[in-house]
Amino acid sequence: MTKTLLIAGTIYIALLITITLLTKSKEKDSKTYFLAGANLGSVLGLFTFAATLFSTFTLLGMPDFFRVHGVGAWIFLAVSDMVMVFGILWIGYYLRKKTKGQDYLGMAGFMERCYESRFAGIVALLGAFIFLIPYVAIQIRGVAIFLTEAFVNGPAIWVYAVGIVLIMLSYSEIGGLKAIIYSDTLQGILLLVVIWIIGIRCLNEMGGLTATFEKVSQQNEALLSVPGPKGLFDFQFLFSSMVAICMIPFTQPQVSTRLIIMKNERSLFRTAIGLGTFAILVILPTVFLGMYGAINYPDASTAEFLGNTLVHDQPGFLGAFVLIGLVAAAISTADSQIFALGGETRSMLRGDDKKMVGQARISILVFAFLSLVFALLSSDELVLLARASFAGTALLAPMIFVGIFYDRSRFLVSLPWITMGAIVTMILSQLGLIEESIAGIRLDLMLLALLAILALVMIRIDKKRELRGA
Amino acid sequence: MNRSQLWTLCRIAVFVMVILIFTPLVVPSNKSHPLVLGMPYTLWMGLLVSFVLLALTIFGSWVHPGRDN
Repeated sequence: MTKTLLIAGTIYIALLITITLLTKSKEKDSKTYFLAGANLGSVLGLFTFAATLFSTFTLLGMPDFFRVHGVGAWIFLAVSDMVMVFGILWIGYYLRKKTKGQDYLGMAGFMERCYESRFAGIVALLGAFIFLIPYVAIQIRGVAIFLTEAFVNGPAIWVYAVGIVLIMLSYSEIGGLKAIIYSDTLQGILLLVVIWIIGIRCLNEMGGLTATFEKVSQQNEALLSVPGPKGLFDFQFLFSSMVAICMIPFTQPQVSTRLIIMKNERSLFRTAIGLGTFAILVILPTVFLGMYGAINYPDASTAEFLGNTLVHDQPGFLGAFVLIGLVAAAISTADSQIFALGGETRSMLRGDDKKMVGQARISILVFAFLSLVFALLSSDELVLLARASFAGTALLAPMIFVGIFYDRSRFLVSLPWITMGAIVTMILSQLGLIEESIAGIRLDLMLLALLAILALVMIRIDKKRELRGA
Repeated sequence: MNRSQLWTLCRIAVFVMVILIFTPLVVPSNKSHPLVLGMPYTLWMGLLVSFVLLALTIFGSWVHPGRDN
């Protein structure tokens, strides 16, 4: 395996370097560097969306989620993703319409303009920062713990984590968003091919689809229905997860930026369809991997299960490709997120463009360092950490939607403050200082519902005020 | 029906699908039968729902009033 890994790894790194050099632009203005010229076609759009959305969380987290919690995980992610894809068609259109003609550089700057309040921009930036750093961290940690499991006498976890961050930083810092988009295409194809090869191998190993579920049924029947053996997939969990996932294209800057930079609406719509197809294709083999784990490694730790299923149980050369595919998956998501945080920072800066791009690039280094630290300190519950991140950024949704849909959002100055209050409450709950559910209702769901109701009430009051004024 | 009406119809269909997802029709508690191709009920029904939602997205992209912008 080591020989194949060295050869395939060298080819992979060489391709990344080539992409970076080919896409490197001498012009380092904001639009070229952070928005890749804002002229993205549907094919590149599809792969960069896909590689950004489907990551370590999907490829390492989801098989483990299926193994531990059962088939309800399909509703949790795949069905939610399909609703999200329709949301791209629906809300994405309005976001593009609203930002047309504006100098869009990031959601934070856009919010600042909508609300005519710097604080609104700061809330958008802070919300993205606070909840994306853990998400980036789990990409890094997920692959790092996997690599430590794959190479028993290999280096420590921090060596892998630093290596991943360095690869990611080197090409995104040099090539900007364009390099990220092209490398996403390479990485998106790689991860899809790798996950299917392993998925089919595991399915064959278990004797096909029917035999697989028969064996799982004998082992632990609760895995074949909701709420699953641990009771996780109840209505509230599935519903709040769907809401949070559907908000991602608008509340997570690495995705909203991609919506904005599509060439035209038709390209965006084609990308949405492609993304839906990609979602089904990439999540389906994780069911097979999860069921394989449920049969063969029901009591193993996450790292043991993944190390055995993805590497040790596979032929050497395939194990090597899995390792590269997983590193690619982690890098392609983490780089977009870190880079988007840089873009958000840039959208809040005023002054000479070149100087501001320079400052934003420094902020990317800072964000990467913070993610690295968090990666070394966080837990191994990849999916649940990712979900906390989705739920956290979803709190920005009412403020962002009011900015998109309501032309008089500048009169609703208290909404950003209330959103900030909700973010602080959510952090306190994540730290264990506030209960995660109140009166049996999940706090994230309650906060989001409260924010949405308050936003609607504020709009109503403002409309009445406008009528009285007229 | 014009494009705008079809688009409204499409959004209503997605809304109805989202409601159905959380009913026992898609996620019945502790029920794994009937099986299809050996797959338990929630999984094959989830797959079916995913394909219907994808079909609605494709249809929506055809009839979206802003398609030609």
